[in-house]
Formats: sequence, C-alpha cells, structure tokens
Amino acid sequence: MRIRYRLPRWALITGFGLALGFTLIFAAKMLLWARDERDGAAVLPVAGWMPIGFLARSRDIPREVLLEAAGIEPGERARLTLAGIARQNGEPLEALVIRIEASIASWQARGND
Amino acid sequence: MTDQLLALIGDWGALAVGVITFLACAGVPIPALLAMLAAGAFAASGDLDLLAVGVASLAGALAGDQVGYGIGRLGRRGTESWIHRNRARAALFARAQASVERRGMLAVFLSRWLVSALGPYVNLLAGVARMNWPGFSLASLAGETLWVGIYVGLGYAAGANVESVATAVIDLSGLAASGALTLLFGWALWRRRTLR
Repeated sequence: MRIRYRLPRWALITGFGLALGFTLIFAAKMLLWARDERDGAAVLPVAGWMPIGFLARSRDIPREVLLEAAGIEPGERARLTLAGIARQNGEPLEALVIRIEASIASWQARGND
Repeated sequence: MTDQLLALIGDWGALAVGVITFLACAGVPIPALLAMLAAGAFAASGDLDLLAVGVASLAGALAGDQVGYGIGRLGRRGTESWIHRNRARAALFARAQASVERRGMLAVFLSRWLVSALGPYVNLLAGVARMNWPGFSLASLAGETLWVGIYVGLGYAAGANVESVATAVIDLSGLAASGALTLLFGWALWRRRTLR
C-alpha cells in the first residue's frame, strides 16, 4: 500500500510565494549592505555593551589608555563592559562614556605617541 | 535587545554564549548567530578566551539539540495510540520513519549550519520519526562544530567590524533558509504538475 500525503495546491503556492518574497527581501538587504561597505563602514559610537578591549581595538588605541580613563588598574577585571564598569564604579554610564570619549580624543590629538 | 544581548556576553563571557546557543537550538527564538559573532569579536580583542567561547557554544548547541530531539520522542510516545488507530496514518508515519533513517543524518547535518533556522524543527521531527539516537548525535556534533566554527571564526576575523559583518551574516542566513524553502516549495509544485 502506497500512501501519499499531499498538501493542497493553494498551500504550496502560498508557501512558495512567501518563501520567494523573503528570499528577495534578504537578497536586497545583502545588496544594500554591500553598497554601504563599499562606501566605508561607519565607526560604532561608544556604547555601554562594549568591553574595554573591543573599544580599544575599534579605535586602534592601547587598552591601558581606556583602562586608566575608566579608573581600572591594568589586569583588574578588565573584561567588563562599560556598563558593567559604570555599575562597579557607582557612576552613571553617561559620565563614564564622556570620560572615555575624552581620553580617545586626547590620544588621537597627541598623534598616537 | 541587541545591546542587552551584547552586554550580557561582555559581562558573562563564554557562559552567556553557551546558554544562548542552548536556548536557540532548543527552539527559543534568540539571536545565537549574533551572540557567537560578538563573542568571536570579543575574543579577538582579548576580552574573552577563544577556546572557552568555542567549547561553551558547542556544548550549549549540542545540549539544545538533544532537548529538541527528546521532546520529539516524548511527543511521539504520547501520540502512539492515535497514530495506530488509523492504518493509513500508521503507514504514513512508517514511511516518514524509513525516510528519516535513510536521509536523516544529512538533514540533521545540513540544518545545523547551512539552514540553521530550520535546526530546531528538524530536531523535533527527528525525535518524532524516532531517528536512531547515535546517528542523530553524530550528525548534530559534526554540524554544530561547523556552525560554531563558522560564526565564532567570522566574529574573530571581523573584530571591530563585527556589527557590520553581523548584519550581513544574519541576512545571509535568512537568505539561505528562505532560498531553501523556495526551492522546496518550487520542487513540490513542479513534481505535482509532472505527476498529474
């Protein structure tokens, strides 16, 4: 006995249409991304989720410069995000971000010496 | 949600990535790709340990797969009498089971990394169709190793550009899943037309 389970034709056509629609949307998003990358990727603004090392790497700055600005001794719980450091210091995140941005600007103004 | 997820990974490290891949593979809609990409990028900047991130991601993913498979098997056990109440239905399930035994390992392997959005559903189906457990586990291990390696590796390579790369990778993953479904539905429509 051969049993064949068949979806109704309208279900197949609806499924096909939806899947094709999503395929086209994702393809268009990929094309837009490629165009934006060609024009140059933007530097991410300083945000609370960023760990110190990640931020230092994205700005091409020694980690120690940012650790000092955050009030952390080198090697001391350096893995925390900026939000985590602000909580640990008992200060608002905005205040820490302003200090970090100032230290980045100061380092860049000195010509990375 | 993205910022909160990234902060979670920054603060909790490999443990957070492991929990996220576990939940994602068990069927909870949570952006595991983004988590692995970010953890890879944080490892590149020295904030996390690359090996710990890889091991935790893989362990979480494998455990999530087993949970999905287990739920499928339990669900099948609960509906066993319903399946056998009807001869046609029982024959249909027998065919589905035979099909899973023949091609199940390939389906499990490919749905881990190539069309990973379908992974949780394949876990459930494999359990319902009673795919043999060693075969499922082996295919899961091979596929998840590749999945974790690709996304953590991409994050590590992307480094500070991870947000831009993440956007592209997530869209690419969506493109692969929707493209596969388009081909599947197209094939079914074409087959129905030629069989008529």
